[in-house]
Amino acid sequence: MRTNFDLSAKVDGGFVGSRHAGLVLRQELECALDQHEQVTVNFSGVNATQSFVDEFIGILVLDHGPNVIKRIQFQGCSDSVRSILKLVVGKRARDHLQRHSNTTH
Amino acid sequence: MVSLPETITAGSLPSVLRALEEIRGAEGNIVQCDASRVRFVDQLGLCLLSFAMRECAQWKQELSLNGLPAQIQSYMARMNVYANAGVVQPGQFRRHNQAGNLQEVTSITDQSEIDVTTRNLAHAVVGTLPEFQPDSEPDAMTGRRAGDTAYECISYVISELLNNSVTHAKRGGNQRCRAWVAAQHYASRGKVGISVIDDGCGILRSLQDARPRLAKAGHSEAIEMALKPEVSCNRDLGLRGLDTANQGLGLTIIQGIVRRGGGRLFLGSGDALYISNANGAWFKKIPHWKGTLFYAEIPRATLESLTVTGQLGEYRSADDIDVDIDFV
Repeated sequence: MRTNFDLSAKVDGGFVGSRHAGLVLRQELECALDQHEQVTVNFSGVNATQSFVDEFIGILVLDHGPNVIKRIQFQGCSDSVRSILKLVVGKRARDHLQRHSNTTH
Repeated sequence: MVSLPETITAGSLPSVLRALEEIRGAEGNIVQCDASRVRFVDQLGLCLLSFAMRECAQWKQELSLNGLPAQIQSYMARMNVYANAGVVQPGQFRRHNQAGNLQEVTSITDQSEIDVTTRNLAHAVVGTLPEFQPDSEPDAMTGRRAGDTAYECISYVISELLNNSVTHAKRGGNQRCRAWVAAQHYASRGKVGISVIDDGCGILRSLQDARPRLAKAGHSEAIEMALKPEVSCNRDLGLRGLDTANQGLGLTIIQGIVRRGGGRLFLGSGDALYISNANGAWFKKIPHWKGTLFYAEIPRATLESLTVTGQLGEYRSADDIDVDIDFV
């Protein structure tokens, strides 16, 4: 089952930049992923910094691996948010792989 | 008596910091300053003056700016310098809270204050830009209004700097450090100035956990590393918390924004000040500043064209992994 995670309803003023907000929202997203197989994260009307996206989504990938992204659909992303997501996810997928390579040797 | 320079700005930072050193070393209940020569204060200067007033107040001292020209005093009052420092402004003028309407000096200590501070300040700055028309209809094709990109650019810079100042700057026992932020659109000069300063641990100390070899480095080397992509990252220290897992891209992206906008940037920490403008980049020695000082000035004309999208490709590494992302 899929559920919606509407960022615009959780973020004031259409912009979110802090790691603090990223941490809080990631914890909410993790709850949603615990309860639903698929989550649609709606970024419509929301712009964000690389730091926020890294804390919100990047650390999710670092902790759970890139396969977690297969369970998330990103809706309504601006060009900036798309670019930041691609960058952050690519780097954290690498970091996850390196972390697990280090622990198996 | 401490003599303040004519300009309290990023460009005159060495003389400003020398005056601050004298203020901090002054004894007595009233620290007397000759402020009669002051002609101009930029956002960095406003933040430093608010810091100085607050620090004097904490030591039960009053900072007396003797002979401060009336227009400078009025400007400092409008920018909330006195109230932000928790001191009573001299004279009869009492200022009402204008947060969100005026571009005030604001100081924060907690990460939870970053987003609301950023939004208020960015809204206030963008509201003064001539192309911004809050009642205009969004473009039918893009869904965007004039001023949206400028707002996002200013928000991005302020937010990332505050993330650094109230997160990474708290290392080394600096849990109570404070960040000051100010921004303003100078209509006559066609520029937007943004400044964030903090009294935290400084760039060198903030990088040393991730880069042990910096134990023998100087402040200029630390600043250089902080400006390079992923050099200052803590990929995974095995700890969790907002200070441990950054990607080391914040200052890199900000420098890219300022350069692409044709602006100039000042980044200082310890005894080093990094300056970047159209002529290049170089370091200057400054009197020691424990925390971090940042000032950027961007031409207003370029703000509406500055997005992070265009530069992010520069920060991809060969070992990044391509992951299919479902965008709808």
